[in-house]
Amino acid sequence: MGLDVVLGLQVVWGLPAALGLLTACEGAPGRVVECDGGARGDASVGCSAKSDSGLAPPILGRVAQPAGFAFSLADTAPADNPLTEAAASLGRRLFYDPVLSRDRTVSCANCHQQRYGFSDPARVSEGVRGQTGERNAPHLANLAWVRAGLFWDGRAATLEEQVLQPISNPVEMDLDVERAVTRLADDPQYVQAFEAAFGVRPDEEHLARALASFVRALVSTSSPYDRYLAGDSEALGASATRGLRLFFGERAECFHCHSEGTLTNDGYFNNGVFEEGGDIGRQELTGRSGDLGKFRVPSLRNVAVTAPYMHDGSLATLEDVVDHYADGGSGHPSTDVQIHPLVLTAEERADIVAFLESLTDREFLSAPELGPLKSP
Amino acid sequence: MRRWLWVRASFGCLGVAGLAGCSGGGESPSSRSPDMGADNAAGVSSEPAAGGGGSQEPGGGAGGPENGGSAGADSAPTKGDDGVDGDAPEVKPDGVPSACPAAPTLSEESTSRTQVTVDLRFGMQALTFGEPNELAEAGTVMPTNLRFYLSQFEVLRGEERVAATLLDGAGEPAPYGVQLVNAEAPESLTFALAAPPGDYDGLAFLFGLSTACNALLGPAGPPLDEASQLKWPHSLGFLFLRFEGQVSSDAAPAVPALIHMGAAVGEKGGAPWIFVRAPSGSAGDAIELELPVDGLLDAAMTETDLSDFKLLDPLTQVGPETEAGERLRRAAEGGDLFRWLP
Repeated sequence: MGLDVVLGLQVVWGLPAALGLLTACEGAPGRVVECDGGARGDASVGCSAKSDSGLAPPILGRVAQPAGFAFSLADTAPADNPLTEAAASLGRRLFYDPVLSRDRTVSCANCHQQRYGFSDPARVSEGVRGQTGERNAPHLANLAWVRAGLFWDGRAATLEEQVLQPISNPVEMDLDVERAVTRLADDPQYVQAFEAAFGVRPDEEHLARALASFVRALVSTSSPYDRYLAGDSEALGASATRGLRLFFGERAECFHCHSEGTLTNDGYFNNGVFEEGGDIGRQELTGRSGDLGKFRVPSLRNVAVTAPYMHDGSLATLEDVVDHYADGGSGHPSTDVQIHPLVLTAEERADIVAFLESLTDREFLSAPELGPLKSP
Repeated sequence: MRRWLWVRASFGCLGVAGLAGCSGGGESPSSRSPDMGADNAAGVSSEPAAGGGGSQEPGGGAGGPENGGSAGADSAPTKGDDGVDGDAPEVKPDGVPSACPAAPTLSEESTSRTQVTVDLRFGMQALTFGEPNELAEAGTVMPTNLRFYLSQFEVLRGEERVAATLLDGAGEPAPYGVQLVNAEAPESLTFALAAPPGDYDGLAFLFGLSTACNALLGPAGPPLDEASQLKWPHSLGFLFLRFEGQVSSDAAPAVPALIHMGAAVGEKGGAPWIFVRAPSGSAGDAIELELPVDGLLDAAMTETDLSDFKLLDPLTQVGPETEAGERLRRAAEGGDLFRWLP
């Protein structure tokens, strides 16, 4: 009874999803279907996508609906920017192209590196002319399902709104978006790609749509935790299983912010990193006293490879993170009341770290469809 | 015994022009009658009858059917649709639906609309979210998170209870029939209900989720998704209310900074039923419900014997926030937490 019942119930609801994933060509949204040539497609977006210049499988061909997510990927896209292979492929090309930076040296991928879960191993990223910002580059995975704001402070409501801001940010890519569009419009290959994806010449709106489509397609679904959610009770080792129970239980209480499945509740919390004089976070947007030091709860997908941690990159390792929470944070009065010292043994801390490591999706970190285009 | 005056035109056609049958009065509304099955085809699942099956966790439905109590067996329909069709949720043999449909349907009779607004207060003032609010005695409370579910809406005519359907912003039946009220999202404080036309003198609803929705397994869409911040993975079911805030050091020590209210084991362990009656002489086709947040805090501090309190997952440790939640849950049942403003 009790937790075993909870785990049993997870197996019960996970099994139908697993069975669904094994059934080809059901046509149901979110279900993986087998396409010609062995590629796999999401039924909701079809098998008809062709790979970008034929050099890699289609981006959307690898997509499945993550276990623990209510909606298919296609359902997350806005009505005015439906997810298509052409748009995602164009977005991928743009993502890796430094043409979007003032001095043509920095692309999105400089700060969002695939092997690091599309994060940056530096505490803060380096933009044009070696300038640095103040916040750690967030990792990019499963953002399609985020509904409550993007960036650490939630200032962008949608991916379409978010993707253009780094381009014009003076310490990041420092290029006026209008100039970026001009550069694209002067490139016949980009003109052709925009026409193919959207039926228009390059413009700001469709630049945003293309980039958003690629970021939307960054779906991480194949970690041992995902297999566990899909019904494989052996997917986690003993230590990670103990860690899962601590993580989602009232001992460590991580679930209050990092919920099952998505590993984020999309909320904004002061998790005890803030100290006097530091980055005020969401308060800068809302002006509310209660938002002092609040930052967006990131998903913990691939967290083992997205160090350093926290909005300021101040914690170097997962062990440091667990210790931070076990110690009750910085103790500043603005710290969320749910952050308090925890009584955890060294073994229990190691178990939680083991669980966090089970969130790593090796396929996502190396999928060629998500990496830079290869030259013919 | 207190007499309630009729509310005139409480269910009109607010903002819904040209809707057939939308007269604000006239024909008798349906009640919990042989049509109950059809009404519940609107997807409004009600508490299972005492002793009825359907819920998977121990303790099943909410408390007794007395005044201010839960729906329970006494308000179960005498007849109901005991079949299953493609559109209606499954109905148990006793006629009470057991599903929590993601896409409820609207009964043909529910042609009238009314708007409900939840007015969050603190003392004599409107609640200021994210800022200090003064306690009646010393100190302040600054809410940093306040959200809760309301569901299973019914309109009342004397002792008669008529199912109402929660609508979304587009005027369609809201997913699961559940409203997530979030103090940080002002748009969530106002919602619309559909019901058969007529005069009613009260409103009833669950301060939380029905047993069926609370037993929902697997990923669900909003407002029962992770972004609700009310999922409770270690235990069975959801949180019904989540309050977090900062209490000033000069406030009384008992003032809770954390309240997490969910279901408990036991026949009376479900979400509390709230009954509000229209004040004397009130009229109109909109309902304003006052909810004093300091009243919530007071309820969460009620002296209550919690020796029998168990979460639905008995292996889960009960903490001070869940104890505060349980005090609130027990105090809310049949209490006067919500008030219908004139």
